[in-house]
Amino acid sequence: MSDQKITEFRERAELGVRPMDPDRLLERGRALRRRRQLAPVAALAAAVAVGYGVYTSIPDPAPSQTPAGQITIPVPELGLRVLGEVTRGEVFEPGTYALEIVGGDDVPDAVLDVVGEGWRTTSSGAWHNSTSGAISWGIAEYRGMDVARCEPGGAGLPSGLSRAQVVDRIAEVPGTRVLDAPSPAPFFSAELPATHLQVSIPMKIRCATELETEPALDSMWGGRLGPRVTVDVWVLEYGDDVLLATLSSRGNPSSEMLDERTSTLESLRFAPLP
Amino acid sequence: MDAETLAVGREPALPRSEELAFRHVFDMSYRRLVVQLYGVTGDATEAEDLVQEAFVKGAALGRRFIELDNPEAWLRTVAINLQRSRWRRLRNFSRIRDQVAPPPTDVTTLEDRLDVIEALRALPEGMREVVALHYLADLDVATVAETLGIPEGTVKSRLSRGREALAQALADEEGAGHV
Repeated sequence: MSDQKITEFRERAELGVRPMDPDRLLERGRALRRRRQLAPVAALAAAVAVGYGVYTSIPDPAPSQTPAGQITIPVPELGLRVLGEVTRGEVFEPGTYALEIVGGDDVPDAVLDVVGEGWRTTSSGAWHNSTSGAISWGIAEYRGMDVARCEPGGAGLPSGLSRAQVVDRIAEVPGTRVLDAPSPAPFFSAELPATHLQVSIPMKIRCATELETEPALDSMWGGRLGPRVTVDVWVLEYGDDVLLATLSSRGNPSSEMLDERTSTLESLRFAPLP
Repeated sequence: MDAETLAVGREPALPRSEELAFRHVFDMSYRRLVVQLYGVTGDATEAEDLVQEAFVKGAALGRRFIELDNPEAWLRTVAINLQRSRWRRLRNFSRIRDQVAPPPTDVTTLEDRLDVIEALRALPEGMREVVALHYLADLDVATVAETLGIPEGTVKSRLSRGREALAQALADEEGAGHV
């Protein structure tokens, strides 16, 4: 009888499983949590926080805590949760990857198909560098990003706003130039209602170690007209929440890079997590 | 979360009580889950890897993991979702195994009843998932449906056809053994 065989199999197989040391799993879990907490550094700093100029009133971090040569972009308490992170080695080869979820079991996972040539990864995002510019991406959950406190008279983004209101507030951030007007846009295979707009946002770069002068950094980020970051923003309706997905580019990325960026974005899909 | 925290990445360890609770869940559920995922995937090594990954995600949740109503059910669903993710099938598993370097499970022992696992492997993937969760994890139809994110009717039909196929396969094996 198959039921009996299956029961027998289950019992014997359980005895055959050799447990590993759970401490190793605990250690990996802690490391994963650390990465998730670090995830906002690059993805948000480049794609959201810096983009909206929020950091300009944030004090420098203590230099003694910053590795030599590291460019530190302070990230304030934004109330944003990064939904996706990629920590899959130093080279992000074309292929299919999971975007692990920061924040637990109540948010969707996503799958990322990377097309074209490989991207370099950091602990918190994927980067594609070239002499003409760089692109970063991040996905963040909107949680009442408070821009107004750093930009007097600026557009605050308190929670409870509708998608349209969030779009308006983003476009109204001081210094922001709207390059592409808000328009409906498919995202995550059109599973989420989304509005897209592209904005150009002034930014300021600081180097914590004096190894790079500010003009040099500024030049890397946009030249003599002042560093600006171009950010594609997708404002997504996800249940009762509003999510922000952003892609940013600095300098003058090539059209190939921009095409690849678009392909990458279009390949993002939601997949359910428990 | 301030800039310094982000730059330095300090993270306190789990409190001792949470560690103990995590180990308790591990002791209670690890073997069961590996066998269940073995049934789902048909691959013992893959099953171990998936369950370990699920525990890692659980550990990353910290206290929230311990406070789950049913940590084993959560781990099972996470492991199944990991298995279902396309990236999972494409990635090179050796990197993580090298990091963890656990002694490999004695596959010979685990496959002591190879006829059962062979019969499961012969089932289509969707049917195998349903049958494995129903029989190896003792989940009822509604819970299987919830775990896999499919309608109960689909579970029932897959279970019915899977049960038939399994019975046939195991009967054939038995018959062959007596020849």
